[in-house]
Amino acid sequence: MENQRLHTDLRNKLHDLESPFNDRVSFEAVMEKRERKKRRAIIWIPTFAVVAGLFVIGGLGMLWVSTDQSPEKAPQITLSKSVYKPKFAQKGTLDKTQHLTLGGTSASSETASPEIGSSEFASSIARKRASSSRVVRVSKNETVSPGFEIPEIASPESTSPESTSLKFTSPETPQSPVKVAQEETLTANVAPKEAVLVSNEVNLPAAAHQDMLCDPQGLKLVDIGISDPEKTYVEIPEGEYERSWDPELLKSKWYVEMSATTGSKVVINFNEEDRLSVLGNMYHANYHGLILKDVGSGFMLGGGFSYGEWIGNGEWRTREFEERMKIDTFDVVVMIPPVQSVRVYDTTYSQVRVEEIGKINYRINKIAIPIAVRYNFMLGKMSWRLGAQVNPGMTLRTSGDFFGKTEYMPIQQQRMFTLDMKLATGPAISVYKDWVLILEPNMMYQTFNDQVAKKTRGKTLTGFGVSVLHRF
Amino acid sequence: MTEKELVDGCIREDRICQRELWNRYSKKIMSLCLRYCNSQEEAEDALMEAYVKIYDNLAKFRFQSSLETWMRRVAVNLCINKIRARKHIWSSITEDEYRLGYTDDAFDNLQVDQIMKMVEALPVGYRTVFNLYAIEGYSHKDIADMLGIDEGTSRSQFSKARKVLQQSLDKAEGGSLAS
Repeated sequence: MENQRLHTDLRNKLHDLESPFNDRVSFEAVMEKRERKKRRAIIWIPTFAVVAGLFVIGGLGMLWVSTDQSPEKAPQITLSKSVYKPKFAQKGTLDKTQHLTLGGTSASSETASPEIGSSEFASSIARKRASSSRVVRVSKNETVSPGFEIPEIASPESTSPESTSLKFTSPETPQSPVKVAQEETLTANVAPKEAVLVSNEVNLPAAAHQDMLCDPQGLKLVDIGISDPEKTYVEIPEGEYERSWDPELLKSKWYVEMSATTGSKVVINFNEEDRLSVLGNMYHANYHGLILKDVGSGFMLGGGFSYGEWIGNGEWRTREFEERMKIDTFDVVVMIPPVQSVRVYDTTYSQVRVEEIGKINYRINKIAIPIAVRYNFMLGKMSWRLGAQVNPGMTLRTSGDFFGKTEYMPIQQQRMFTLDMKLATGPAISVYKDWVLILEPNMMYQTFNDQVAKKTRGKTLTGFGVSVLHRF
Repeated sequence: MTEKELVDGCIREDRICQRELWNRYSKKIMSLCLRYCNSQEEAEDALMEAYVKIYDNLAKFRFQSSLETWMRRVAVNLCINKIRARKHIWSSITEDEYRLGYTDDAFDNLQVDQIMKMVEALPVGYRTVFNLYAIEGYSHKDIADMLGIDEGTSRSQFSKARKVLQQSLDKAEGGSLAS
């Protein structure tokens, strides 16, 4: 059913069949196609590699940033939502001295007027004795308002739920003076409607972390973690603390920049009077990494390393005028007897234009140590950057014939000094915290010192570049 | 020049070897491309692209088959990729239709170029499956994998190809009888 014999016959018949093709298909055409494909790869592979590298670096940077500022790095200070609510029966005159044992650490101390005189409160406080060695005796002889609450603050140092500290709050007097009870009995007579000072215990390492995240007086707790930007503000205190708490002072002044720049130039010469004219294109791709320092007033200075490829291809054409002699001969019959014929030679000279055409290309691969200056400014609501750069360097590989409009010259096998100058400007777009993307049209003047001709040659190419700037 | 020398020379970018590879196999590969492509121009383009791929990937040739077989495989894959890029819509048929077809000696009296013309005249889907199954010798499962279709579709395309070829054969026989 499957006609296997037939298929075998068909296979045998068609397998070795040869079919002709047109002249446009030839070995040379295949090799030319292959070369074109390779050239495309040479241009694109480094470009893709750099762009991919930028993304990888960016991704790792983001990862690092998010990991570095994870909440585990700093001790969490969380407010417990459990609130001590005294029973109505316990509301009354607090007229006796209580012995309270407070445990753990306290992030801040605020005043409150709970029903300290109640036995239940005393027992709840007594639970904390196990983890505390500090005894506070509070004496109170005033009826306190039942409206006050006693929130608990979990200790960052202790894993025991018992080792919590107390914080008493009073809405009327949020900034009551703070006193620390250190291994002593404190007795206080509290005036009516005034907050009762109970205890403030400071854990020094925790306080140091806390100071990084809230104001030095410890009045306002600040949530930790960068995931919610609205909660990560730092309140700058006034007065003598102002300078040391200026967030700008904490920012790094160092930046790293990775950039890929391309450009091109068309070389055209239609002047018929020139003996040699070239019609071609030049392209360049330049990749650099820079370390920049913010020197103030929007300026950055820095240096780094760059790699560039500068290629060109096109056609040359020579026009030459040749003076060619043309001899015409005429036989003239002279009718005067005796009849005779005379051969006349007519010589004329004419100018003939002879044209020759050929292909031309070159490649210069180079490395350089760029010195860069950047100026950042605002234009409207958009941040812009103006960049200037000088790249002194040397060639790694040269091949082919470099060309201008009316000349070309071989540059093979030369180790040449190069000097490139770049001017670029474009919008700077903040893509993430400390990461900025700059899209900048640019103009790049590329030169090299032709040691054979003892001459410096250069061209200005214009194009587009992409830079990523990261503050570290 | 042996196959090994030829391959080694091509890997070394030896122009003489590369030209020899072209001279030796290009017409056969062209014949293959013609069977898969819609036109002479398309086949010529496929031939050149196939040779570029062959030159670029000769280092991967492990001598587990003959060089020609490997080159044909490269060319077939390239032609199939072109067909897939055209997003040809494959249709399937029932098993009954599949059982229709030609007999074993149907092509015996035909010349190669006549068969070739008949194959070339087939619609793309039929032609591709017919070429892969009947001429290259792939199984329907392999064809299904290569073309991204299911096995039933491959079978149905092949069946339809046979039907069309049968009609062409009938016409050819009628013509030869008339003459």
